Amino acid sequence: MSDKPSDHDLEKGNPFDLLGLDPRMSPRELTEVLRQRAERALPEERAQLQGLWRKLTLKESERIKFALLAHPRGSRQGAQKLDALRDKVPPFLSRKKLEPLTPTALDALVSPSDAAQRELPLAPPARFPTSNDHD
Amino acid sequence: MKIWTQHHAALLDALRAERYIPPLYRRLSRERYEADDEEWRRLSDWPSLLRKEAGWRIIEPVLEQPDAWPAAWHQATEAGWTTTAEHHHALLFGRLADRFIADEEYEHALWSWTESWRAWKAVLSTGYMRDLLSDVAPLDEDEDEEAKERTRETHRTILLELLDHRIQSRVHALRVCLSLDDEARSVEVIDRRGLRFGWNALLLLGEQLRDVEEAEDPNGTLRRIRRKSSSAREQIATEVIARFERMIEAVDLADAPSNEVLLPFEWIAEVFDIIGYTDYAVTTAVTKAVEICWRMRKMGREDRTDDLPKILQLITPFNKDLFRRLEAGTSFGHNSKCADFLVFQGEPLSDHDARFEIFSRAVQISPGHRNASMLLSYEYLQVTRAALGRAKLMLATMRHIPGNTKPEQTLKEAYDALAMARHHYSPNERIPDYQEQLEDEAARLGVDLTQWEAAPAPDDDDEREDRDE
Repeated sequence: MSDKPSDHDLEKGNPFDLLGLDPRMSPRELTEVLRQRAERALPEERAQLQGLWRKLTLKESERIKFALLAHPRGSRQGAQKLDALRDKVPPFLSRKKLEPLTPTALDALVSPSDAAQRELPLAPPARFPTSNDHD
Repeated sequence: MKIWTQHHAALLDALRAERYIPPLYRRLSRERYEADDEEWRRLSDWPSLLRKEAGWRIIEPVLEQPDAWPAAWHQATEAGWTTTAEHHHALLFGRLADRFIADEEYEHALWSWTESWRAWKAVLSTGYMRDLLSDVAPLDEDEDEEAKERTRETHRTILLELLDHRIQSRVHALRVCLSLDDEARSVEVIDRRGLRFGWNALLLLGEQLRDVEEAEDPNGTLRRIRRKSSSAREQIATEVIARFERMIEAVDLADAPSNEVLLPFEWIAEVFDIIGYTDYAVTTAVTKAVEICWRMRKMGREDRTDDLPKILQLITPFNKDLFRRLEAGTSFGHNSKCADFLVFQGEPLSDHDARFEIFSRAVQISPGHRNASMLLSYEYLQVTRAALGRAKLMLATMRHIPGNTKPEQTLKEAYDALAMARHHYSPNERIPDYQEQLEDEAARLGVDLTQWEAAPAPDDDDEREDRDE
């Protein structure tokens, strides 16, 4: 059964969804976000961004349609890949002041197990190889 | 320095999306599809939202148990979703429905279609869309109230058009299923599954929105969608009937082969068996069937082919439905056509009981219908004859047995049947003969017929309808 070309095109090629943008953004905000992205984009990606920007900003009724058929966004940041998000997260630094390190007798008594030793990159071998081992 | 930044929140949302989108998408697509990159982008904020919903406690424990779905989803829906979540659902299920339709998985398509409209109903029953529209396209505060209202109406129209587009997609697909999109294409091949799905989709949409009240639909969007779904079905039914009529007009009864004569009736019978009968459909089908039966009789085609009984057989469900409508008073003005049809059906029958029943129905629905009344009159004479036959076996001496009312009862039966035969068709030339036989038997058995003359006449004394056919 064939289907008429429909609003699915609006949904499938919805710039808000494609770019992970909040549909509530104004044309000015959209322009600013896309300009920033275009500056960092490769030439072919830039052309695509320009096309999407045109779809969103040339006709208000089209922008409204795209907005109504876009998935709601929890934030204005837009969907990004995990790696990119991980890079943005600042390293964890605890504000809690740590106790100063003080060596105790226990440190001298407790030594790593054999298993733990093998995992240590600089751990020495459990026993040195004999000459027979080499043969 | 902030410990929890917006980047942390975004990362957590993305991690949740990674964890939950695959199983959710798999379960809600009824184990048919995996979320692709585009779906990931669209749904990235959805899992974090769902986790805050009441329904999450129901679906989260069974995320990895396909057998628990879709029951778990329905249970969670009963617990209630927020409107934002429902906006996600309306769009997601709409896309899933489209995908199922493309793959001709109509059972799942119908489920997704229904879920999508359920979610749209939830979205449109609140101020969510109004707020979204005012954020997306804020009103110009410098404009007067009239101009603002015009803008609001423009926005509402955009929304309505988007939703109506989904209905029009179904209409278009239905027209393809029925070959209505191309007059040159034969209607012989019906996409039955597609037709059943498309029709039921529109029907269910109408039912979902049937009880929408003004309070939950202040802008009237839901009620306008309901009307559009209803008029979409009417449009299809009307197009089917119009095509049926054109097909009949194109048939040359003089020399068309049987398959050409029967095709329009086979087609309309099959289509309306799937989509259900409408008043217009039953009246048109019965009228056309009766017209063509008369023409076949006049042209002698009835004797050369068995097209007539086949047409009657195909259109019988329509006439039964028309009978019910006329009887219930939900239809009017086609009583004589309904009776005509019953007469055509009853004529070839040889069993008295069956003929009596069908002609009685014809007279019941069209009192005074000439042909039906005449045929029913003869069936009453059959009753008279049977009673007289039993009476003739009785000995005249039986009248002297005290308390024996059998002769009188039998003659009363003959008397009443003869009265009914006369009532339905007084010009019946056989009546005098039976009247004479009745009087002879009454004289022989010593029964006084005049005792019943004062009895009330049959109540079915409506004016007779003149018919030329």
